[in-house]
Amino acid sequence: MASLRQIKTKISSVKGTSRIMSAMKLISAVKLKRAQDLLMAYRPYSDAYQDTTMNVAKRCDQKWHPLLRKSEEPKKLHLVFITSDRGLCGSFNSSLIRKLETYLVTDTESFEEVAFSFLGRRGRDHFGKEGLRVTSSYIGITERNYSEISEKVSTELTNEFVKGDSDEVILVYNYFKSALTQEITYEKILPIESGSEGEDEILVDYLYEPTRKGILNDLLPKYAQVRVQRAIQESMTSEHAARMTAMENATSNANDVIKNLTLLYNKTRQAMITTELMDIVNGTEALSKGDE
Amino acid sequence: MADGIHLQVITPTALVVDEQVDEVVAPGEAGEFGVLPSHTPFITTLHTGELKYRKGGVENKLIVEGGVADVRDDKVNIMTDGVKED
Repeated sequence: MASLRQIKTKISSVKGTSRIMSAMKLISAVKLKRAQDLLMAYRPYSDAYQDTTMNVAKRCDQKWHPLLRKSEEPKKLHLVFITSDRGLCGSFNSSLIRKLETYLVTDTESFEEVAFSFLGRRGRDHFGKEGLRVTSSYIGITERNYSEISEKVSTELTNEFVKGDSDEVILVYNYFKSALTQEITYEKILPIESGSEGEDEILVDYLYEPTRKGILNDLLPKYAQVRVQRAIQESMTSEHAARMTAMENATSNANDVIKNLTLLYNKTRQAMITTELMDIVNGTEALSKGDE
Repeated sequence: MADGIHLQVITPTALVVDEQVDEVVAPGEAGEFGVLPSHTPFITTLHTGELKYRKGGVENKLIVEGGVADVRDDKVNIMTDGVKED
């Protein structure tokens, strides 16, 4: 049986850990709030942008802009994989990584080439070792720089797409459903295509001002940027939520451990007292027998 | 169709305007343009400039910093990088 002193040290170390974790939980809660506010403000903007772009794309022939080019047989796939930089956020990264690994095995057979971009250290570190074709990776994405980073990333993606170095671009990230649920999401952002093809509605083409070409040149690259930024924001918000939940669970686990250890400590202490008492009683009895 | 136009002015950080109005005048790339109900689908990029909208005789003004205006089905969606109250 462990000595009293050992148990005591263990209790105090678990207590320390639990304090750190509950502090991390509070920090995550604050960060989550901020990220969530930014996300909730950005969602209507990106939804409106998407709506408009889809409506334009529906009315356009794919020859009118390189970003609308849809390949009959897409050969080159580009996956943009968004994870977090840091761990301690439960299954946030690991389930995403596992999902992507299965996806790579089952869904990418028809492609001859798969290239990757990693946003976030975790994904890069995991897949970086496997000798995949990595076009770019970004770490250190924060609330302050995500709009610049999304611009850089989307410029890279669109340039590559226009040059013909990729036929399809898919974003993989955690979509923020609520503080408790995050959903792994695949989103094809290039080529830009409207989801509702083959509908019978009669489409009146837009009047474009100044010119259709000018509008497409403005709207479509910006759309790619908006989608990337949205995904980054969704992922960041999800990360804070996941960390908050993970830390909450960890804190309550630590408290359970403390409870058990304290129980063990008390039991051991009582056992020791009993042994000591028995020693004393035996001793006195032995002495009194000797007197007779 | 005479119930006016649904105007939305959206920036990356806020939904600035979301209401039913009678008329919108916006600073398009090729010059200022006005939108009344039953306008044909129309899309344009915007200059930085004054966006005016009228609702029941009251005129409101905003400064929009570029962006895109999407006019369709009696809806005007303006996606802009930022707005300033006039």
